[in-house]
Amino acid sequence: MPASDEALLRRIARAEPQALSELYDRYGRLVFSLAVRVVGEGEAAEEITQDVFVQVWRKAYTYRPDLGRPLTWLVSIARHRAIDALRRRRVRPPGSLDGVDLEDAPLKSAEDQAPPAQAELEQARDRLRRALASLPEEQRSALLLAYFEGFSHRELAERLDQPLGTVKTRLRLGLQKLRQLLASDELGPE
Amino acid sequence: MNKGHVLDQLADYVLGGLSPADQRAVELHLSGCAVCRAEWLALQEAAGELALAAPPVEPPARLKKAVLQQVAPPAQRKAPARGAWFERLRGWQRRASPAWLLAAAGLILLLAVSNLLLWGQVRQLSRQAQAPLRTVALAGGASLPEASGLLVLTGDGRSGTLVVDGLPELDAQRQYQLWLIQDGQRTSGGVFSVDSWGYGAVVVESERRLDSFQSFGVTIEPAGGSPGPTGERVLSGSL
Repeated sequence: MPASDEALLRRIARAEPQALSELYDRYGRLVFSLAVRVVGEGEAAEEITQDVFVQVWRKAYTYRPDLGRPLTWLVSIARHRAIDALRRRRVRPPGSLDGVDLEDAPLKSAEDQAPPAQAELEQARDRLRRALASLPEEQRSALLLAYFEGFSHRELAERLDQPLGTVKTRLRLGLQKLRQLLASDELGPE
Repeated sequence: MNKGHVLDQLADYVLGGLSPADQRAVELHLSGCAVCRAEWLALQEAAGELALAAPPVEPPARLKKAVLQQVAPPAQRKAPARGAWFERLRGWQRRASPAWLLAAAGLILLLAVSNLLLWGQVRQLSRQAQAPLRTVALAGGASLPEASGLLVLTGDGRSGTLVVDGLPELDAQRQYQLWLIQDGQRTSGGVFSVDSWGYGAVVVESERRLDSFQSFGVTIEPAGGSPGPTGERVLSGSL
């Protein structure tokens, strides 16, 4: 029986490198993929990934289970690091606006190649893909742009050529609906 | 706003779309409202799932090695070969003229005398600092859960040092500023930056005793600091 994520973080907090190694095996690809999606492929994405896991190593003792799952905590650190790097560079990866198209994301092919240990993550990915597909296009685009590009709501309104209030409403409704969909049973196995 | 709740602001809060003032108001409300807190956690989980929308890319194998190398105990880290510089030192010693050796001996003697003097000063300072140090832990807000800080006050409470960790490195136009808070009044405790690892430190001095303040906060301000806090609060803690 593999150790839970919480158990791994407790062991990391006790400075057990093996636990960090296991956590990396579980989520290294996810963190790296997130970094690549935000800053593009290359050295920066590798630096962010490395930085995230070193931060986890140093800060595992600050993880609070009452504030969310370990994965949410890890992803939150990774997104902040990546968006921060992106804002420092002030350069968008080429084609970033096109990246919101779900058809561009090779989710299925990645699922086929995934090792067994990644199966749970791939199920979650599949649920998310279907949840996003059920959102109206304008809400989905706004959410993905805000999440991966680090645009402020005002920047997003300019990018999408929409009033600020409209963009805020899209984001709010989109996230609320996503939260309902992911919490419901509507997205059972295909 | 719903009966004083902040439910309709939580999505913006989770996605980082609120102004610093609104963000502070939401955080204050969340600290005391179980209803909004539950909704915030659920929205945060949903936003976290968005990471899975990134097209999967396999990281290079060397990346894991690099991560584990960084956290390995010092003894296991790859150190540069020591034989080479040791041999160079031995060679230099063999080739050095008697005059150089005499100068080196003089330098060693000088360092020994300096050490003795410094040791005496340290003993004297140790006797002066009889009172124990006090510490205040500062925690990151919802937007920077991994950030933390430690404010160490001297025994007499007149000065201290703040060390922070996990804060993002800022551009040249912005710096972090420490605020000393008493009855809602905020006094600047110093301005500082962090390195690319998120580490930073600042010596804190105040006309009043630092242990007379109730709480402490760190915000992001224009470089050089502001007369009062204007930017996002990233760390906070109470004595």
